[in-house]
Amino acid sequence: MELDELKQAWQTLDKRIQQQNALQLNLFREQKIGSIKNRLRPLFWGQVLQMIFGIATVVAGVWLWRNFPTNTAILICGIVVQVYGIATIIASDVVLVGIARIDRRLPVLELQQRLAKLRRDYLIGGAVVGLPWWLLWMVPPVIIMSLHAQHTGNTTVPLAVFGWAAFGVLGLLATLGFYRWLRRPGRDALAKRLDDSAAGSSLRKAQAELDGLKAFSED
Amino acid sequence: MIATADAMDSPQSRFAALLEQHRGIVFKVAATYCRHRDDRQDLAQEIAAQLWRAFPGYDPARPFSTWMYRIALNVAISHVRSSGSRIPAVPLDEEHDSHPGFAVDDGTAQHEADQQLRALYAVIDRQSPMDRALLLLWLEDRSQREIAEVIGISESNVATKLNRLKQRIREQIADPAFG
Repeated sequence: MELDELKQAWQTLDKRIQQQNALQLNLFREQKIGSIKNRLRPLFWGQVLQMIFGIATVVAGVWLWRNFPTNTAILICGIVVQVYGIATIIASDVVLVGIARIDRRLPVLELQQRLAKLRRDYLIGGAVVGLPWWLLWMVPPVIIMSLHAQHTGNTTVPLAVFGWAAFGVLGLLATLGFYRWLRRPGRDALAKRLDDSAAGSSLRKAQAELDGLKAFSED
Repeated sequence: MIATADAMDSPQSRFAALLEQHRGIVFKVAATYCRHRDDRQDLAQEIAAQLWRAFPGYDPARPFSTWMYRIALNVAISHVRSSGSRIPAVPLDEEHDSHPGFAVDDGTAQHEADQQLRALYAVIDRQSPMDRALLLLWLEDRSQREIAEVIGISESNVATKLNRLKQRIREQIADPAFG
């Protein structure tokens, strides 16, 4: 078969499609099918909620370090919480800007790149918001313990805090290590199974998609 | 009479007329990206719906077909990506009667045309979503300028990519495992 014959086959397809009366487009079924913006609406509102959560976190962080400037533990907790809140806001903002830039009328390559980037940014944002909880969960007990210590005058840091911190750091490293391990060749089957739950695999796919599109545009 | 003229001039009737005129584009894009009949119908329907939604932003000074290809291809590629159905390795014989365009094989000249169609689908199935878009526009005899506008790359890049794509297709066709 030659390339000319492909064109010939395409013309045959064209003619037959035109002849098939059964192929009718019904515009009035459109309400059943949402636009891309509609489909992205749950993501949009999720990010808005995340941003509100981020703002509340920043407010809480500022309140902590402003009200307890002499208590080192609470001061550090306040700064950490504020930094986390800012990171959460930035992560939401990046995704919201990405959603706003989606438009079906864009050239094919540009829109597909924007969609792939949105997917990647969403996954990175998820990691930014989720992973710090390996350590952030310690903030409330540390604050309570610090306030208690301030009352009683006992300034010795309980050993448990070091244990929690070690646990958090190890958990964080283990999670990051797991994502790295999943990326290695030969883990495709496991990565596929964990795709829904492990952002590492989804992120790899989104990045591969983006790289593929970039290669297409530069090739 | 005035009411009838208004109805004829409404965006919906203008769109319906343009869609009817170019509906082949919708079905050919759907046929390029979907193998199963129901998927294909759903995709064609979705493309039509998205075209209608985007129609208020259509600039009549520009070719309707270019605008239509952009939206149709964007919808189709996103559909393929979101459904995760890259290229299903379904033997063509099993899918034979669900492909659009096949007639009942009565052993006449129809047979040869069907064979060519099958080979065409085999070629399409081997391409990535972006290359399928390029292939479709080439098969549609679109100018390099229009292809560049639809895809969003330079004209010289279109020429390079088309040459490479054609070379790859020649190699695929020459492969004994083809089809």
